[in-house]
Amino acid sequence: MATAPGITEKYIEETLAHEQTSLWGDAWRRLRRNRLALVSTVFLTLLTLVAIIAQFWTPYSYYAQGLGPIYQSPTAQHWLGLDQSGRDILSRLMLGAQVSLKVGIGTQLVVIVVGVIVGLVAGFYRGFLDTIISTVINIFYGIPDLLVALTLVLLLGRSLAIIIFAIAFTQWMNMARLVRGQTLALREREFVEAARSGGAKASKIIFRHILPNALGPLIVQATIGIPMAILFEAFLSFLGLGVPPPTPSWGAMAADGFHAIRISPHIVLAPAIALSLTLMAFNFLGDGLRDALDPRQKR
Amino acid sequence: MAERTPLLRAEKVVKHFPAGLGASVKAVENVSLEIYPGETVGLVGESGCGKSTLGRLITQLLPVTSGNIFFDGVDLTKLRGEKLRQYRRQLQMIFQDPYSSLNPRMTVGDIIAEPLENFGLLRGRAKDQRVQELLKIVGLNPYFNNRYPHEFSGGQRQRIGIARALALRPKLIVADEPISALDVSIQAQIINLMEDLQHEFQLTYLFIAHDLSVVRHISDRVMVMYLGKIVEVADSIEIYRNPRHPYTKALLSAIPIPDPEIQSKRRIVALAGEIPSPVNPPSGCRFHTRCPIAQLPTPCADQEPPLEQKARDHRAACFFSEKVPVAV
Amino acid sequence: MTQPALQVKDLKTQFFTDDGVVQAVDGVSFDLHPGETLGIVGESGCGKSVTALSILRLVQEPGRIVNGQILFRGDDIVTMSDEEVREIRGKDIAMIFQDPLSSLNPVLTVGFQIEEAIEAHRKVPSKMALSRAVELLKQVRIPAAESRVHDYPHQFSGGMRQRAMIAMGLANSPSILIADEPTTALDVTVQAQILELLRDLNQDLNTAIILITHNMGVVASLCTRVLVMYAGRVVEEGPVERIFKEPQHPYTWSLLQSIPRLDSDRHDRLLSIEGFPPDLIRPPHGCRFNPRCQFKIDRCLHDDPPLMNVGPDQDAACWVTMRRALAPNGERRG
Repeated sequence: MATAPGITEKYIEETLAHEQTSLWGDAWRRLRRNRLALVSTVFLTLLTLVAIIAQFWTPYSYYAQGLGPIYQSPTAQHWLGLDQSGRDILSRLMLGAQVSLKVGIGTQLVVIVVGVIVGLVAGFYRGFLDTIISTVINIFYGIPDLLVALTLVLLLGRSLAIIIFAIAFTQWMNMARLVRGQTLALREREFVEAARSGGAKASKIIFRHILPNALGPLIVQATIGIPMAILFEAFLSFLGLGVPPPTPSWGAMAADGFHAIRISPHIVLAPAIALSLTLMAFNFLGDGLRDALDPRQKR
Repeated sequence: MAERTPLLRAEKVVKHFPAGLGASVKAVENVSLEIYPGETVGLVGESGCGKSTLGRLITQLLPVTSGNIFFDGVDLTKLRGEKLRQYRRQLQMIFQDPYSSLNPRMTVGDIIAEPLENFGLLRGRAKDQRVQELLKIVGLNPYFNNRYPHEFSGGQRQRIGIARALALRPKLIVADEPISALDVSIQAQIINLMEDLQHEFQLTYLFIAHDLSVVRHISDRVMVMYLGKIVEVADSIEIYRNPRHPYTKALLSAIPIPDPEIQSKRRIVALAGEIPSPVNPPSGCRFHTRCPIAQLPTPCADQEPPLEQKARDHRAACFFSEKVPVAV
Repeated sequence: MTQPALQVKDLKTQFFTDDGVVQAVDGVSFDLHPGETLGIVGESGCGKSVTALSILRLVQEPGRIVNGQILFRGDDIVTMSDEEVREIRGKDIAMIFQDPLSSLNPVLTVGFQIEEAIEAHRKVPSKMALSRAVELLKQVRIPAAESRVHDYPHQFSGGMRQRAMIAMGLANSPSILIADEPTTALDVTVQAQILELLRDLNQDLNTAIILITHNMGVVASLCTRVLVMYAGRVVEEGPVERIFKEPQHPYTWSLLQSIPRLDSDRHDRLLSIEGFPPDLIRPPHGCRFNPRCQFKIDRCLHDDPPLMNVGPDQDAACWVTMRRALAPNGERRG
């Protein structure tokens, strides 16, 4: 047997195989290359700015009536015209953006908290707990979304918080199912086995090894969930069950203008276009994130 | 190897996985083995023979269905929770796939330090120093500790996995196909590193692989598995010169030797058919359906040959082991 | 000497990725003679598979053949129309891959897929196609071929699937069979059977075989000539006996020294090639093996060695060569 060289004279690899990049940095680089996702990001940033500004300043008061002739078409003073009560549509649209974003993001926060906890528990502990959770998820899928949301809103009232809660109630299953699937797959990976072999406790395995690696798909799912929630809220408002007036919601604004769609279509068009652009932007961003965070790209 | 106490002793270990409809995959069936301190035991067999499962039973990453595993005299299968966790320090594992065995979201330093943290062994600067020392031990630049796994090559990642396994100063390391995912030119690096580390830290290895030439090179003793059973155990020179189980013989003859002159003179012992399903393994000797020297039906199809002494330090589970031809 | 069945001349295939241009195959040339078994060995990323794919123009985007000729019966495959290449694929040159499971369609019977391969190139009555499929399955030694022809791929074991793939490849009696790591996914006992099958097919049908593999043992058991590739280049080429007995390129030599051999009883330390294969977006200057070469001289750092004759029918791309490197006294000079 040849003598083993001592540690000091051992060959040390000094070169890395790949240049230093962070996983998130790589994802950002890929996202930037996706034109649609980039445009969407810019649009959504502007929308958020508008929503923040609306908190402090709008061209006119959003509830002031009779600012001019009702049903007035866009003019130099009122860029988007006036509605059936003579209120400034631009100001109301700006505040509506706030409502939409609050609902969209608020819902997803609730969905993430519930979905992640439920999904992790089901996927990590499997067995009996998983059976129960999966059954509950399937039952929730079986109940019509609208029915659940309407019942909750009718029972509990029409505040923003309750609407967020009601929509989250119809959406948490998607996230729970996704996180459960990710957890089931990740817990079989060798690095999780290695962590167990290294004496890691369950909490560490879950929060250090499983959750961070499920983050990519989770973010994509939440991004796709935002427009779903916004649309749901708009629909509730359209039915007159959304955020209570006079707070403007795009759905309610569209409903208001709906009966006058032939004489003054601008009242419907303004919120409808804003809603469509926002939904599209979130969906394109979600798609872009999916491609950017896809781990297949990196070996 | 007279009267030494084994570091690890497995007794009649069984592992069945449920396969639905009341059926089960009989992955490991009644396996007994000993591993002595300081030695390298090779475990070979083809895919699906149960060798990886056996490795995970020994490290207690999987619970046994029945049987006992004694480590330093303590039955690991009886330990639960915190007691078992404490024993994990002694038994570490090196994994096959260097791309899947490192958490991509953690820095290399955190990956190697994690076992130390789990047992509250070192903190702060002492911990960082130990991590850097471990990196140096496995032949990596110690300042790589803040890099992420994807910046490394396959061979470098495997070194990181080895550093993690060494962190707790284990007594036994189970290496599950540690080189089969690596490029040919990298395999020797890892084999040499493992050999060096064994000398330095008095490690005991269970080296699991499908390639008998690699296993022979690194191991003192070799165990051959077929369909959940150990069919032969012998010294690594002896097993090549004088195989006593027809399956070992077939396996040896099938491995190509990188020398065209020798290779053209060798004869392959052809095996009939395919590996049977471990859900429904053959009766008697599990190898009888493919065995070139089986006597059917009696005894090979209706009796199970015991793993018994055939020569000094040489056990085989075959009724007709003297009929197995010697190697080319 | 006979006319080569296939001539590859200065082939360059590159991948245009976001990170840069990967020079996957960089100036590969070789001849394949009728009935020959040529091994192309190297580790992952050395360009051996891309070379094989380039021959049939199967390189996928963002990869492109950017230079060279692939002459088959005097015609250049590189400049052919898609239609003409399709005519050659499967008929004159067939290819089998590492993973037979993903190469077979799971919802069609094995027989149907072989019949399809037959009918792709000539009109045959379906009865005849079926009997030909059975005949082919028998040829690749699948037991009870008459009934197994109606089985689906998942009913076959890994080894049988690879046999079925080979049967499909042989459907139109090609003159060249390209096998890309055909046994890598298989167990050794099954690998031995497949290699034996390929050897017999080569002898009985005189089909020339290009065997792509990383396993030196597999080359030793099947091939008559070897091409050793490293980092997109051919570093050594010659008859199998010479390459294994007197390798002249340090990479070939080191590789052979680094593999544990089944027949060696000595527990000697293996020779280890330090480092790892280079990034082919920015390959090293000079000889591409120089960062890992223990015999390098100054010239290797900046001067890229071409393939030079180093022995009977043997070429190596090295300024030093093992003959000089291992010479007892210091006659190593560039």
